[in-house]
Amino acid sequence: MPFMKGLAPIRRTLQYLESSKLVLRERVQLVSVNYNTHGEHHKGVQEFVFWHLPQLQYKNPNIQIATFRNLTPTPFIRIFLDDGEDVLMDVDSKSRPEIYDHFRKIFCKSDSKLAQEEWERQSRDNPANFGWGCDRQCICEVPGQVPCPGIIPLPKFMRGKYKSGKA
Amino acid sequence: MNIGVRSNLVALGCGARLWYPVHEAMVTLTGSQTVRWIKPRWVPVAKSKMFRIPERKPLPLEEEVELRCLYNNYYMAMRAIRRHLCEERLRVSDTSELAIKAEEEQAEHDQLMEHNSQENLRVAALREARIKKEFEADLARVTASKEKLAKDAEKAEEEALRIINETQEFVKTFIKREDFEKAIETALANPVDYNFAIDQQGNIFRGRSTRPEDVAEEDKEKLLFAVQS
Repeated sequence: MPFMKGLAPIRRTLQYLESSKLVLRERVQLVSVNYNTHGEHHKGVQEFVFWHLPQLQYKNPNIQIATFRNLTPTPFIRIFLDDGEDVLMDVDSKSRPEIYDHFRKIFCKSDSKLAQEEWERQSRDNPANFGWGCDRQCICEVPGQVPCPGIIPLPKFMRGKYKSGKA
Repeated sequence: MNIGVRSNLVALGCGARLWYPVHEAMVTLTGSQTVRWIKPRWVPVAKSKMFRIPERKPLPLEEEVELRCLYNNYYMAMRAIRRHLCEERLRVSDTSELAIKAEEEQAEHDQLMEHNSQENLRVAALREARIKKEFEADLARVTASKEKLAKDAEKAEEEALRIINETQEFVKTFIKREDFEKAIETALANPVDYNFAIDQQGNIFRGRSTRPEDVAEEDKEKLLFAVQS
């Protein structure tokens, strides 16, 4: 790993960050975590913040994520939605996997939704699309359409240079 | 084919089109213009006009640029307005895809919030139990330490009393100023001889000038500790 700075530098690798599935839903605007640095019942949240907060921020660069340490007797995560409503998530004495699963289920996009967005992003939802990244590069590949002007020149009345008298 | 005058043709002044135009008839369009001749649709293109390409008059450069600018601005504005209205319609309409999706999402959101609150209740119960346990442990610790303190205080008191009593006893043996000279005289009269000798059988012979033969068998003092033989 290049530049192995910090306690667990794997958290800073692209592969680790890209592989996370913590993409927040559109409603979520703000995430704040309150916990203490010492305490048996804070252990799960400490680990969650240590391992998963970089991933969360990487996947949601426009969402504010704040941590408040050593202010509360019991740890909790508070999420603010876009209509002003805030949702509390109690994480007292929970282990890190439990918190991760619960958080992902309630506030993040599900696997199916992510797959669908990936599908849409690759323009594969509409089979008629052509262009970069689709099955067909250009409309001239489709039988029945005007053939590629690079191979067969267009007729004169379709050429702009002829129509404007410049040919 | 002779496109002649038809007796049932009427040229209406209000601007109605005749279905079968006649090259001699005057067809009035909205009363402001008149059309002398319209080529019928089924008549083919004339020989002189078949391969005609309409001439495109070139505009001066400045005019072209200005025109293009105006067109661009206009189309940009129209596109923006159209898009905005479309989006608003999608957003506001009750039966659009967006509205349905929004409903579904809302239902899903409510369900997730419900799940979250259930989980919170469960964790709250666990937390209450833990806090109660910790509180009881604290109480026990405090009472234990209190008892220990009380015991220690008692012991210290006892110790103090003991020391006081011993000292009181000791005080009785102090020599007062009045008996000072008498005490000196008694001390001088009774010197204490710390010298002693030990023999191999463990007998102690006290005194500087005591000889073993002088002490009788029965009076011999034995060492308290066992002698290794």
